[in-house]
Amino acid sequence: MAELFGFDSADIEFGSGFSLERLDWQVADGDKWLVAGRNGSGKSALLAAIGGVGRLRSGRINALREPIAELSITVQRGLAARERVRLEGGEGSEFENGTPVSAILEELNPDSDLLRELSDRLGLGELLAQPFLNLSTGETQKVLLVRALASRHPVLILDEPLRGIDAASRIIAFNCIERFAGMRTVILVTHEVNAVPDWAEHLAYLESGSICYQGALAASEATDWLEQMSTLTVPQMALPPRVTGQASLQAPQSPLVVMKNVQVSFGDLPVFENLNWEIHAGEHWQVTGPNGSGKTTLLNLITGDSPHCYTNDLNIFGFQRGTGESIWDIKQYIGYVSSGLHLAYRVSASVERVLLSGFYDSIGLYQSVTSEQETIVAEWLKLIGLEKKRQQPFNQQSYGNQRLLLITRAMVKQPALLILDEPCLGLDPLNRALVIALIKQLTQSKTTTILYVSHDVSDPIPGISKRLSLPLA
Amino acid sequence: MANYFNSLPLREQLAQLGTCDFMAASEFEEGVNYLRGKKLVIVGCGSQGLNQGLNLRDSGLDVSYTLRASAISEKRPSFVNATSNGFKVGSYAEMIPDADLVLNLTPDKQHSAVVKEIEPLMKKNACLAYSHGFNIVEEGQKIRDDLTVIMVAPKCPGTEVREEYKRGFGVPTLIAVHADNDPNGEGLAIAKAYAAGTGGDRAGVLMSSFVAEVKSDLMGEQTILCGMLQTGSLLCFDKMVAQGVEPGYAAKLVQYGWETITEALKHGGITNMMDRLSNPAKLKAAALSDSMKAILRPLYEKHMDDIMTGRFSGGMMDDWHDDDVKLLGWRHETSETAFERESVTDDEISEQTYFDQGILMVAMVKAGVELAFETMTAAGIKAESAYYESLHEVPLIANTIARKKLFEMNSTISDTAEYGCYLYNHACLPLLQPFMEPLNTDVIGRGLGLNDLGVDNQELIRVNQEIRSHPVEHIGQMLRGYMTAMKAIG
Ligand SMILES: NC(=O)c1ccc[n+]([C@@H]2O[C@H](COP(=O)([O-])OP(=O)(O)OC[C@H]3O[C@@H](n4cnc5c(N)ncnc54)[C@H](OP(=O)(O)O)[C@@H]3O)[C@@H](O)[C@H]2O)c1
Repeated sequence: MAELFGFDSADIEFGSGFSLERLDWQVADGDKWLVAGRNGSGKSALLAAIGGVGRLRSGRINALREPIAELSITVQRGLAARERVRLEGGEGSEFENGTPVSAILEELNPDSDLLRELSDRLGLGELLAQPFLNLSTGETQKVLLVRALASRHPVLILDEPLRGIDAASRIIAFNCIERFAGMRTVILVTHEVNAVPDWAEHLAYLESGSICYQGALAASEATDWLEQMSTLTVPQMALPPRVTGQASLQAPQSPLVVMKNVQVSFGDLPVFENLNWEIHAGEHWQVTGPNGSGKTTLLNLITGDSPHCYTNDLNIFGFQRGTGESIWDIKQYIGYVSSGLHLAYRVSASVERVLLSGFYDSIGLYQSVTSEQETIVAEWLKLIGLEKKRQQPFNQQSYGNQRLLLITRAMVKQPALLILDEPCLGLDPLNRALVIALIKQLTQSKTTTILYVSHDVSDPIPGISKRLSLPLA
Repeated sequence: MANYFNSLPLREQLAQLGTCDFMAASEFEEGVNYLRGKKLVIVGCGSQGLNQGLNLRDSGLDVSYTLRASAISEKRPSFVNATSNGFKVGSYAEMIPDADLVLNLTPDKQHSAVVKEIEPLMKKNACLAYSHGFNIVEEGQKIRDDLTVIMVAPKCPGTEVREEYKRGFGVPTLIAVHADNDPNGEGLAIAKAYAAGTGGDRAGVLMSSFVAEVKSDLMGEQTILCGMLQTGSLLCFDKMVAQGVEPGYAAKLVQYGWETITEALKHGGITNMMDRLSNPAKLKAAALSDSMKAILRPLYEKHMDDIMTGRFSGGMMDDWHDDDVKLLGWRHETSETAFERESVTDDEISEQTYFDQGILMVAMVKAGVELAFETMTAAGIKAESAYYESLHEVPLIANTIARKKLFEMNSTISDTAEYGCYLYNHACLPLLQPFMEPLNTDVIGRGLGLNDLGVDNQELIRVNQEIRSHPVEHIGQMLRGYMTAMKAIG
């Protein structure tokens, strides 16, 4: 079949300083490729290069001339940024409270019957009139999936299409993808090597910016590469020490959290009615629930990021909320990571300073640090294998490495309460194993209580025994 | 009511104009303590009102809102903003009498009317706060003797005030106590606690006066900040199109160009912005800037004089009473300009290209910043105030143009700034016409050609020296130094 696009001995450089090297890769019309590799190996860069981003230093590119339907973090960030501009701009936009989901969907294909059908199957039906920015992580992902699938564009790029989608919808999403993949050229990127669909034909495996294997996915060599990605074992490790003498690291009062008869609704939509919950020090919790069940809202009540914490009966670390405490009094006991934080972490700072900001609960670093804090951060960087990136800009790291760094940022002070909201999204299997191992260590540390949130009930975290499962609101 | 500034003896005028001192972080060690347990009631829930309120509450203070009756009964956005964020909202009669601190965050134009209504309801010895001193200084509003009057003015739009706070930082803030209204000597303590509650203390607070804040704010916004960017946008766009640059491209270069080139100001002032140009381009920009400064100096001086004498605010208040005929007419005119109506190309323009092809825009920023700064300091305003109201704010305003051109800029800034901006634009456009006439696309739209690339060493040394030794660079370096000691972003 005819070559749709391709690279011949191409060296491509990106603004971030990252480069793809000696790229030889041809994609024919109708091909189905799986692109795999560890965090930071260049998967997103390769997708960007398909879209024409980057500077060709040598070699040749046969550029893609067809429009692309893409589902990726890049697209999500682009849409979110556009929404923020529209909202700040006020009057100029057609939609005062932000663009509704239906309009976002219709941008690539106005066929409302098809959109309605797909939306209903993925449980988005109720959300079509909601502003796009109000959606939870999983809901956003579903919207972007429907948007990409329903488009008529001949090239489909799916970068971790099932990221953050709840257990109940995964099979449906998987089947929907299969239905729409058939006629098109598909580039699928995923870390979920156990869930590679049957229709994928070829594998391109990346390591440090080069394709080190390409060929039939069925070949045994392909299986070897994929296995290598998931079966490396996590080395034995010991946690770095806590800082000494920082008052905020003294154990706060237990119970850490007491919620009484919590009521929250958005507009007319009730999210919680009469929720009661207590978290005691040393009791590690896993919170599960489908996309849109209010997991993030629940966490925001604890962290103080929801205005509803002032209208409910909440006692956090011994502070009765709304009685003169500041959010920084609360946050000093918390380490926190979520997709929302990841999206908000948009300041330019080095990898090291991002980790140091974990001691001050800030986005960016505004206080002077101690040499003890620097030493501890250096140890953490070693532990996660990113010590060489210490001085590099954070925002030029790959998405997966950024995520790993933000998880570490939440851990550096070994806080009284560590809140991990779907932390592993975007991590490759090895990094995921590393994070789970770190969590396990922390559960044994006696200083840190863990609150782990995931949509996936079948995903037990060792060391965590308490469960709270939220029904769909 | 009579203009407050004009009622002062000269020595008082000079003393108040010359007040602006960077406050040490240690002055804020008490945080919000002075206001702990007191009742804060905010009048108005717009850009400043909502965002300051969210920060103050997150800092542990007791915040509620009061709105005019129609906003409550019609459930206007201000009402929804306050209630959906879990704040208590009530009428003036319900909320004001219990308030220890009333924050007037309604539009400046409404201040006389609002103050007239709320003042009689305020309890004895309470405090009235503003975020801009126009009402006190230009309208000469007199406040009851027992009330304390202060100002806490964040030097950023409200959304920024909130975003920076959430990051664990804040925005630079001016505070002041109205000398005529500090009956218990507690004005400064209240202002410091209020500034700490908004997060301003983390980014740097300057002790200012109502007079210094108003006169410098007016001067900055109408000349370099909004006026120069508006006039510059129109002139640069029309020039490029006349010279055959594709209009969509020209529109993009201007719309995003201001933001890109002034980003360089944030990091290293005019020096850094000029250093982003090649040496030959830098010499061109310096020469263009010198010519413009010579042409525009009398205009800047006229603006400063009219602000000082009250002529400017008098003229604007006449327009208020004339149903804003002038303002609305000018606003409409702006919306009809070719630049505003052109849609921008999708073509990528790289960051460096904005400098290379925008030499004239760089020159305009340099000329405008330096002139505004020189004119303000010559009029007795301290270098610190002059810096914040000129160089510091340019990137913030440029950012609004990047969003939706002049429409966006003019709808984000206050009506006062918008009125002043149009006034400037009308005077500045004809003044710069003859200067623009002979210019070509080498300085705007296409960049220097290969045959313009020679540079004379002596000339380059002289120009570099001149740029670096300008007083706005000295104070800028110092103030940015203070800020980065606290803020280590980028
Ligand atoms: N925007 C800035 O960048 C900035 C920066 C620093 C300082 N400031 C100062 O902050 C103050 C507020 O400015 P802003 O930009 O926040 O204003 P804004 O966004 O226009 O908000 C004004 C609020 O006041 C209410 N309001 C309007 N007319 C009123 C009236 N006649 N009586 C009672 N309430 C009225 C409005 O609600 P309803 O119409 O629903 O009643 C709205 O909630 C001004 O003094 C301004 O100079 C602004």
